[in-house]
Amino acid sequence: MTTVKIQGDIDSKGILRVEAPVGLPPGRAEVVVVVQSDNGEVRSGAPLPLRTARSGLFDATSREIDIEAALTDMNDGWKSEFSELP
Amino acid sequence: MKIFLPDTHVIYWYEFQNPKLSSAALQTFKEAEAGNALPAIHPIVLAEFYWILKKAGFETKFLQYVQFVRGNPVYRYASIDLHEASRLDDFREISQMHDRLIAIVAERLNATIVTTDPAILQSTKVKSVW
Repeated sequence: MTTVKIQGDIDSKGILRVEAPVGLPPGRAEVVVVVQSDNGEVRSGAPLPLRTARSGLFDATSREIDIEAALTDMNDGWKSEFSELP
Repeated sequence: MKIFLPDTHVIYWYEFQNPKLSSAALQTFKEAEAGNALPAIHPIVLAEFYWILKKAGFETKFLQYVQFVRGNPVYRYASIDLHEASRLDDFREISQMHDRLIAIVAERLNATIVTTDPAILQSTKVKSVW
């Protein structure tokens, strides 16, 4: 077990985002979080949303991906793997 | 509980908040957040989503997305087993291999596939919506 003190940002949806280099090997980890404001007060605002379907990982992404081209490329790749078979 | 199987386009457009996502598709996620529906994530969809992210240079976020789904009560992971893989020939009306695997699992779960794919939408063997 290791304890680190870090700072994070809570976005408009109430999601806490942190970058936490903990120096542990890759794998699952149990995390204990105590949330308090910068002045030390425990926040008592609206509860965090418990059921969120969107990850928010791509919220800051405005790039348009050509999804059809990506999937076509993927399909062409595996089809070519078998094209030499009789 | 209604079970939905979102296809890769749906996951991508939902995650990237793309307006191409249909209102019906968006509604399935709203119902899931309200606890009235269960989106089941198919391994093929995850694999295709990885491929899209990789092509766009976002592959480092793929594992974060998998972790998000795995630890999220909104979602269910829809596995596929050997018996289901052996049923590929039962869905000849769906030409693409990946789409057949999605349809096979949808039939087992009695799930509605959320998709833009015309072959799936026209199939009489599975429920679908766009």
